[in-house]
Amino acid sequence: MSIARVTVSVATLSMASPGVQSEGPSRETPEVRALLLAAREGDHDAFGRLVALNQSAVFRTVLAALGSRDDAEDVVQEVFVQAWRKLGSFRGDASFRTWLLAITWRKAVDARRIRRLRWRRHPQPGDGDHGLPLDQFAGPTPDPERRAAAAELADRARAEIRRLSPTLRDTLLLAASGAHTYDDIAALLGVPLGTVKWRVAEARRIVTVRLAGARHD
Amino acid sequence: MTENMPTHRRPAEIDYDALVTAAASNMTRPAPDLDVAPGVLARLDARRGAGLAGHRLGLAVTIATLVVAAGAIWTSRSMADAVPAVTGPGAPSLSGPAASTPGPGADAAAPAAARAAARPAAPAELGASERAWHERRIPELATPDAIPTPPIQPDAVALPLLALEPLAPTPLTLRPLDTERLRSGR
Repeated sequence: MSIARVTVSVATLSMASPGVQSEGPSRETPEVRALLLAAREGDHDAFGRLVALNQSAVFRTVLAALGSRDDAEDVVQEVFVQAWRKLGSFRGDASFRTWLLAITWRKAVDARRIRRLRWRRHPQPGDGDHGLPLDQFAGPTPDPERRAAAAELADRARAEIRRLSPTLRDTLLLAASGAHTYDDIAALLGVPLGTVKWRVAEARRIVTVRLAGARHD
Repeated sequence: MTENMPTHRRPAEIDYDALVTAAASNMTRPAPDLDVAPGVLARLDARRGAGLAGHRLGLAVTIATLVVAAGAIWTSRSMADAVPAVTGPGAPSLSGPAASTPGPGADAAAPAAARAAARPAAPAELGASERAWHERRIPELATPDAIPTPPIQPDAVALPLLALEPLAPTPLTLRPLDTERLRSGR
């Protein structure tokens, strides 16, 4: 969808629908609000723009639950298709993003349960190293040996995270994804905020102890 | 001792907390070229196409059902037209012994002929078949007095009751008391 069309939609809707603020999703930016209204009227292009705006957060959330990028992409598409179907029931009590991520988490957990997905002990090709921000551990002037050591350390860190219990792992990955605040995570998981903070700290502690223990062995 | 170790061998250099954070973040990092919108829109288009096809299929089924129902109504009406032509007043006369034997409907034949004479004219806009059906059927069904009422025969009801006769009382027979047996105590 072109930017010009979105702009026109915003102008048109703001003039034609003065009640949008009261009955619609008032927590959204004008662009998102216009896209939502257009999508509700069946505009696929507007919904495609909403998909583009939220796909990264949705993907991170699904990946936190599934751990497989190939499976995650399918589930992400299912999430957006379901969101399209349920768009009429979105009342704007929460932001569209919060509403969408709630659908996402339910869908991801369902997919994990239905497909009996197991975390892989060994990362599959393509799972993991997308711009791995671990070069800092190789030092300022990384030589090949240091790079290899850093890569090995990163692999072990990911393996230890996968070894965590699903409860701790989900919380840690959701927190580390950067797509959610702790309050969002608490709402997604249906636990108190303090529980979320404890789980993240506990997950970090366990992984650190295991990594340090393995290093000293 | 650690001063002599290569730099990357020193455990103190590793910030495990940062390592865990980076690894966890990396595990949920989407590919830079992630673009699910085309796939989602393709699915939505497919759903819309399937929905349209389903709508058309439903419309076709509805039309077919209506056609079948209309055919069934037309058939039943045709059969209703055909039945009075065989058994009604205009039916061809039967020959043989059965024709000379008056049946249970013989009494109703005369009133039926009288009713046929008193029937109102059928509406002019009806076709020949509907007009004939109307003239034969509508007055009989619409006028309550046209329904033949069987005569009440009180005697026929009372007779079975009167035919019942009271049962004769059964005489109670008692065996004579065996006094000898009582005396002997056996």
